[in-house]
Amino acid sequence: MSNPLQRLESIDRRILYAVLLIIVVVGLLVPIPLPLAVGPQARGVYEAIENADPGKIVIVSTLWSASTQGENSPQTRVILQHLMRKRLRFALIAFGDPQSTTLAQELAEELARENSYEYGKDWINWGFRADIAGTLKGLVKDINETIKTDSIKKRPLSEYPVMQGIHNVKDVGVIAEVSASGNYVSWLGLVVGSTNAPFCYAPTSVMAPELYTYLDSGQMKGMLFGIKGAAEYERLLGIRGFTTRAITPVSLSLVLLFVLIGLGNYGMYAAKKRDQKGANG
Amino acid sequence: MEWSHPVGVWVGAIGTLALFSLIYRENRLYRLFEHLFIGLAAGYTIKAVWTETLRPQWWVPMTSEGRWPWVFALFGGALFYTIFTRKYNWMSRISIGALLGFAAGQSFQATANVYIPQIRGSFKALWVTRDMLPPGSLVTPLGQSLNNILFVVIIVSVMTYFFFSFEHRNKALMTTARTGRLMLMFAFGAIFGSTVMARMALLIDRVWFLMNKWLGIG
Amino acid sequence: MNLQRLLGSAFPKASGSWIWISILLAALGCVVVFFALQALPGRARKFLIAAVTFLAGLFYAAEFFLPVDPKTDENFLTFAVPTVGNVINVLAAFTLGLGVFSLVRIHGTKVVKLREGWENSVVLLLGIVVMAVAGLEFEDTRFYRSLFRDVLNSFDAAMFATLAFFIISAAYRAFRVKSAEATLLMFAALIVMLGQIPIGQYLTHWLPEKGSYASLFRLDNISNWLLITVNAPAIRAIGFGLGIGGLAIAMRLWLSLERGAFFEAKADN
Repeated sequence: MSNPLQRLESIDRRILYAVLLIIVVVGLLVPIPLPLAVGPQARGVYEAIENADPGKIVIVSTLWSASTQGENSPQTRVILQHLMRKRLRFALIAFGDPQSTTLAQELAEELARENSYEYGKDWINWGFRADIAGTLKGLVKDINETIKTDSIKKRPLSEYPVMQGIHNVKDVGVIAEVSASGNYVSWLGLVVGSTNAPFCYAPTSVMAPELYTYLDSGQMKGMLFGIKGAAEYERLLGIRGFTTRAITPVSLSLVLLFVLIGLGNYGMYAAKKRDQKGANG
Repeated sequence: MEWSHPVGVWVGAIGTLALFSLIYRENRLYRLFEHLFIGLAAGYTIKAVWTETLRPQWWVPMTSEGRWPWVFALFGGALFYTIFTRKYNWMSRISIGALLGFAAGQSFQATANVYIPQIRGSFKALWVTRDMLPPGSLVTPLGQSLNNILFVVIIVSVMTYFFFSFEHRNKALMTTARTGRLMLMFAFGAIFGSTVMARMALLIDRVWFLMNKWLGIG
Repeated sequence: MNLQRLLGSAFPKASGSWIWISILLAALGCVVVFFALQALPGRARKFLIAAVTFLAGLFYAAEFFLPVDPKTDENFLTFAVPTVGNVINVLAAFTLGLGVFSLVRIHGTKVVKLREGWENSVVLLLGIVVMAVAGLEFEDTRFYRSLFRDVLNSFDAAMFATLAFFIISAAYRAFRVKSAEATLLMFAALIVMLGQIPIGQYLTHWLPEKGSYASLFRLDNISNWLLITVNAPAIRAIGFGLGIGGLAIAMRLWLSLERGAFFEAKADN
């Protein structure tokens, strides 16, 4: 019969699920007041926006749906908060999933009310585009001709004060992409290089490690590493939003993961040892 | 305009719990809400494609601005749907071929712009002097030199691992490829950890919805 | 710019009642082309598909490779880039409907023939109709917005959130440290993630945050160093392979040299 240590290798999955759920609920209710160090990647995004030319427009591109809103929504929120704090004009554009234009617009509307940002004068929504590459090639040449009308009032872009003096990507101060997909390849390949605007990226955590190579080469000026990147940005902005609270359950669940992997391996070695003992004697 | 309604929140919460019930076992309630989700998502796609793309970029220019050649886009788009017919399905390949062609044509510029800076960035100085370091850097010239050497060694070893043009029989080649394999494991480890973090963030978002928006806790 | 003028005169803008007349005539032309295409023999069909693919790719390739006028930074094709981008965008939008069409076809058949699970298919079809009608006709109502935000978004998010449970269970059951590779993978995941979260960072919080060499040994800095100096070059090397492979695939697609179900299917049925 297996001893309790060996049973560590085969804990019922329902117990694991229950422990995870409890950790998340407790973590959300009782946040551990530990500070989060701000990494150079989040600082890169912050400095790009901080130093943006106020005469230019900032593009906030989104490619995410509710499926990854746990990470991408707070990332979009902190970037928009910073833009509004700096009184920079910005344009939303969405690719990939049609949900992303509505979700980003909802966030922008909420923050615009709080920051007295006026639609058409301070910000605009260029809407959803099914094709990424063709659109980006168009933006490099002529934004008005490519986008034509805005997403909310369906009026020509040239009618809006926010678009005054904006013709192509050379008139863009910063490009910030919040994404659940590998859209950065299109931006890097077709837009970055045609403009001096720094390109910043806010991916889900899954994608973040593969992007350090672009930070190293200078093609990306900054990156928000999933929900943790959003929490770092909240710290840079001096606000305590949802991610500051959520970072506790994120930490606890990762600790749980490593504890479980440790237990599983300990159980495996215990079983192996017993088998060896049995074989020897 | 409010984006939320208490009835919607209740439906959303019940649906969330029903979809979560999959982790216990597959059941009828899960399947019902799964189908409802797919239906709503497909309905939303119809709405979004029309209001965000087809109406402003195709219908309005064609019917209100006199740009009648946009009819040809409808023809190109309709050809995709011949895929559902037995007799005409070969025609869908004309439109699919056009999209593939456009993507292939763009790839020359995209590849050059993405990878040339990457290649340039890989030629790192293997001996770094103080004046090459950014001001205020805590890393010593020797430390940065070692970092750069390590960086180059890893690139070369991983590329060697993926070099399949001939068999890795030479001992130096085998050692380099083995180093590359280990370095890849390191990168995959980082990706594994961050994948878990991403999934946890999604769960936390849902639990917070149930706790805060539905039950009013927290 | 001559090409632009030529195209402008070949396809002049219509006005007034001529708009609909032009649309109808063009649509009629499309119908004629459709049947003319169907009359093509198999070999001509294959040639046509290859030619369309090549010409589509040639536009962007030529626009990129041809020299530009230093004054305008444009060549004779650049003027068409926004329009071609819009055409691709509209074509891509049409493709999004393919999935919906397929869903309706499959579940419609299921309901009509009362196959097992037809009740769920009814719910699916109702979901499509309710969401599409609400979105197209009642976009500015609270009903539609709540349906999108509270219902659709909740379901979408919940679907993906279930992965958290599965990944924890899978990692616990499958992650066994049995080789050097597995050990390194585990070590990397542990150090990198501990350096990213406050609880891990707390382990070395007593070291100065900056201004001293000791700060280099903080877990967040070690994690960052590993990501930049070890992870980045490994990913970059994979990227080089992907880049070359991607370019090769693009060339094969462009020149219709690719092999496989799509490219080798007979075009003469």
